Amino acid sequence: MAALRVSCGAAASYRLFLGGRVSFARGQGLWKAAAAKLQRSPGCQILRLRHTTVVTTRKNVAVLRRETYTVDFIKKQIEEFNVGKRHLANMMGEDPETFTQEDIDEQNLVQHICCVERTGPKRAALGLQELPAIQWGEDGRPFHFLFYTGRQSYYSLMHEAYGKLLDVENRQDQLRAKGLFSEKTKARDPIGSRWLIKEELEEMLVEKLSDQDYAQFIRLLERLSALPCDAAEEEFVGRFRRSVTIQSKKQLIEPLQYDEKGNRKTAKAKVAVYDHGSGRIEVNGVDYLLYFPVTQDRSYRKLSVSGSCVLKCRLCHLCFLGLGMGSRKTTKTNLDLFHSCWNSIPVEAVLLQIPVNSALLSSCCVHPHQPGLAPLVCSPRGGIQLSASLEQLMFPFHFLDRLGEHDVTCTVSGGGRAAQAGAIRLATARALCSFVTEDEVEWMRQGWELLVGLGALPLTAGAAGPGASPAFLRFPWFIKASLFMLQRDCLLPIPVSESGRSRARREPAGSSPGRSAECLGGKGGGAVRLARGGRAGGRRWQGEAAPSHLGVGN
Amino acid sequence: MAASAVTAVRGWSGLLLGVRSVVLRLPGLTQVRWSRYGPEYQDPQIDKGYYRKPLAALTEEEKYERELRKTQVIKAAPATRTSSVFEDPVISKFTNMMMKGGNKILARSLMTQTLEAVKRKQFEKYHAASPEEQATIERNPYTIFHQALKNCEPVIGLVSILKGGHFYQVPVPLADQRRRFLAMKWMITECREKKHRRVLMPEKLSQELLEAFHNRGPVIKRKHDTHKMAEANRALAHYRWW
Repeated sequence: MAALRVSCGAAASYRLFLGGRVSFARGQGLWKAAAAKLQRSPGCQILRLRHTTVVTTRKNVAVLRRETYTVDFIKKQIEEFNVGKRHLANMMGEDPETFTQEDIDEQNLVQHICCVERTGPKRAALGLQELPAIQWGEDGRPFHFLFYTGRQSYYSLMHEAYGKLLDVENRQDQLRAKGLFSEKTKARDPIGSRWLIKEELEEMLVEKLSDQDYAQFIRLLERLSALPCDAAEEEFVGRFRRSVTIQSKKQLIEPLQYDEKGNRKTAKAKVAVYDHGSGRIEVNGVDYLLYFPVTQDRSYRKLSVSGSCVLKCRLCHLCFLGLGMGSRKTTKTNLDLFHSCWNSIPVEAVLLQIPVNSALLSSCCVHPHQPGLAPLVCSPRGGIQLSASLEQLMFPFHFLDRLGEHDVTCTVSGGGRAAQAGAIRLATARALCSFVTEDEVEWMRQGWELLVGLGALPLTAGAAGPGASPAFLRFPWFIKASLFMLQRDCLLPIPVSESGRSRARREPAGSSPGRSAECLGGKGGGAVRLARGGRAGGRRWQGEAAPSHLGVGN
Repeated sequence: MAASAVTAVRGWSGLLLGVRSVVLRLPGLTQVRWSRYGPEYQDPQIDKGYYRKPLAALTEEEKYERELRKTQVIKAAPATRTSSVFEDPVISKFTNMMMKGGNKILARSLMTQTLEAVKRKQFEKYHAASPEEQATIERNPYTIFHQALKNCEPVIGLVSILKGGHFYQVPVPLADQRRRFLAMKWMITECREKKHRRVLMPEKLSQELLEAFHNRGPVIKRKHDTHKMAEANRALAHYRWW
């Protein structure tokens, strides 16, 4: 700013300044600054350029807001609204006395009152949460003594609850002093009610709460409810409890209907369960053993099982009695290596009766068997190995101990092998609800969800749904940071998948050698390696040429 | 341009995933897997015996718990869980860990073949032994499996903690779940890496299980190595802040 220093009292010099410095004056700013300097320099009488800046007085916004929604203001607005409504009715040719809100809405006109009430039925009708009423008087003093905590309702509630707790404890102390205190443990609350959840409490208090606040409040209430309370205190605590529905009631069990639907992932199954059956299950017209193939192993042998005869397994040379009798006689005719495996088979395994298809019988033992009974697929290792899908199908029956009693016909489509099995499982479970007592329905529900298949679950708040990237990767700061890193490392315009080959190819082309070399340098290579590091055995980066080119480029 | 943008995004997600795994490796930070169920959903109780107990045999606590469960929403049982008597959670977990690429059939068959191999070996020994020794030989493959894995569980583990620019191996107590996982992981890794290419997995695995059952073998050695390292680094125990 040395150039702008002007000697006092020299008009010529100033003109010189003006003339000479015009070329220097880059825009208004410098000019004005120069003028200001002139003005400020002491004893300078040559020229006074007055800066007149417009002083915008900033209105006190808080005061404005305070004035907006006072009760009088609202009343005034309502009056204006009513007057306007009458005008509107007049214009539309309707009777102003009976012109209702619906008529206004019908006209599709914008209401000429933009202020929505802070509380009231209209707000509730619009589905908006209630705003807290004005909490200070005309003089600006708040009504509530806890206003300056910021959360007056919450703290006053805590204060009240704690006051009640102290009252109860005082009463207990008095009783103890008089010797009338009896250690009665209070009966635990029946399950029919639960505490308010955080959202409900927020709604009640018309205030935002944090999780810790909510937890603290519930702890206080629990402490209060654990002590012997008066009726008033019980009523106070009761305000914060809501009743809870018994979950199993939610499912409608149609009386003795046999058809049911089930789904799992993308598989849909429709199942019809018939009573007084023999345990035959048919899927899509095909026996279920054929539909869900049993794991065939060369060491597996099929054994046919009947109800009454003594059977002998070819491989194991073991004999045991038929089914449903609960006893098992093993005569070890041949002390083979494998025979002792049967010792570990529990009786229930033997009880599995599976309907048979004649095609499977050909590979079975020669014993006479009753039609309709199954080859029991067994392994000499000890234990029946059914495929996982078959176990899924049996699960409802086995759980309810009704293994051989029902016939099932189902049609299933979509999904894969396990998904279809899961769908059939769900459908059979639902169908069996009609045959089974309520208790058992409850057991089934507690064992595994009957009411809702997995796909029907509503998304929790903030969840993005299946197939979405995790929340961490969707945060805006994370995305910005990664974008920045990628741009810095020249990764963004160049597709990463082609990076290895395209860079090697781009080098000979010689387009912007400096930049590409810089990209291929340590940072770019390092970043690419970081990207590839996560994948086991990823594409080998053909960047061996890079270091040499780096030398060339630089 | 759209294609390149798409591939850029895909590559970008790979980068991001890589970054995320770096974040996750910090000690003490656990990532919660995302679940479709809200927090109010309870785990299912599949055990049949639980439900068949007569009402009179229940204690107060149990009755209360039953009543409580009636009002709760329950998750669906996963497809691998049934009320079958043959189901073993340890075996299921081990099978899942052995599984590659979702090939559960293969994993399950390998598992059964392993158990068979264990059983056969034990039976050979049994038949070749004298009556006094026969009493000591364990033949049930399930008990052998459980015992072997229990023998392989480390008591104390090591965690890399960054301090002053260097990573130190700090001894740290392990949770039960983590111990079981490590035992299974070591077993599987050992069998995958240290076997000849012509040797089948069930063969190798059965061999390792039997050795672990008798407290010898490479997996047990690895457990002892971990313990020794932890013992050697016990001065660094103060680096742990949790």
